Amino acid sequence: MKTLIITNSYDVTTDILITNIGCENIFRLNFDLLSDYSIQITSESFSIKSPKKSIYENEISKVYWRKPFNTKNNLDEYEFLERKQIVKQIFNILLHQGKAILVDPNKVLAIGKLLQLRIAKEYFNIPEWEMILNHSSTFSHCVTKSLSSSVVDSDKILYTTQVKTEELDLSEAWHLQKFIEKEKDLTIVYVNGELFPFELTVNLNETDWRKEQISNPKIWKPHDLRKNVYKSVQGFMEKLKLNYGRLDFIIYKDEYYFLEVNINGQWAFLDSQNEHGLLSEMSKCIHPHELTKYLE
Amino acid sequence: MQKLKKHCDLAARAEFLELPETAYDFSRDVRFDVHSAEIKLMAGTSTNTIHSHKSVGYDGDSDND
Repeated sequence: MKTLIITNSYDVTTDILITNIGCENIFRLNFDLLSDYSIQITSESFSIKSPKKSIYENEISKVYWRKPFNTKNNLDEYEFLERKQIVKQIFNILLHQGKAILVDPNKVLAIGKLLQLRIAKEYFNIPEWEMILNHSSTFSHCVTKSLSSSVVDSDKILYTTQVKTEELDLSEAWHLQKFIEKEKDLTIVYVNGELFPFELTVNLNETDWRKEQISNPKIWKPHDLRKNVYKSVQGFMEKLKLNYGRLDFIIYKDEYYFLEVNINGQWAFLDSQNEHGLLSEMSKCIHPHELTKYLE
Repeated sequence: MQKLKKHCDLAARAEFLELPETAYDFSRDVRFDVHSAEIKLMAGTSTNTIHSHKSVGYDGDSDND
């Protein structure tokens, strides 16, 4: 039996997993190289063949959805959408058979950023927020965030940015959050009920830690999580029926403020050398022969 | 006064890092440096496209997953 990982060929997280678990235990389906695969799906079964390996549906014990669509492609729009359906349907067939683990990509849009914030207020402090379009803001000094996290002009990102609302063009849609000072960023990886919290001490002028991720890479350190926050995270994730997520918080004067849960959040950068138990836990979940919790 | 728009005023260019040209080895399911022919794990590095540097070091948690 093998685990099918649906991803792209540049996905370093999958490189790390394959090194850790063994390439004989994984079948890697790279969406950006789909033209190199041969695929057949029928009413009975499916098969996938790469230039060097092949797998049949009944040889798959688990499927893990990584980041298949995070690469550029040269396909026309229609063919691109058709191919996206192929990999989504392969995932959905295996999900239906109870073989999917950790991440259900269908939940990313189903939950979204605003519904999760509404639910989160039952469990955490959250900064005041609003979404406006053709409407004035109730804030003056705030931060604006992307709702979709999409890339702009193929190489630009809308980082979390401080703005004065009087300066915004209100004919655009704005996701705004009241500005709160922070001393630390906190990110918690939730894996089937296990929590892996990491903190990053920030300088006060820095709103979004991702902005200088390459020129000035940050080292995240394990964080000693307060028991009540631990329980709140458990309750929140159970409420959303999520087996996996990376939850972002900020900490100011010992108060934790919830920002968001990333339902398919990146995690390998937190423990790429397998020093903090996260890589081991993820590898255990993904290994085709290890017992784990499956998506419902 | 000209008002701020996300697209032209607030979106910032993502950082890039130059890495060697790579090809994909289907036997071992990893990319390798085509010039040195060496298969190397790119853990902890960021690659030369926005999509790939999202893969490990960057939070590319887009709805387009």
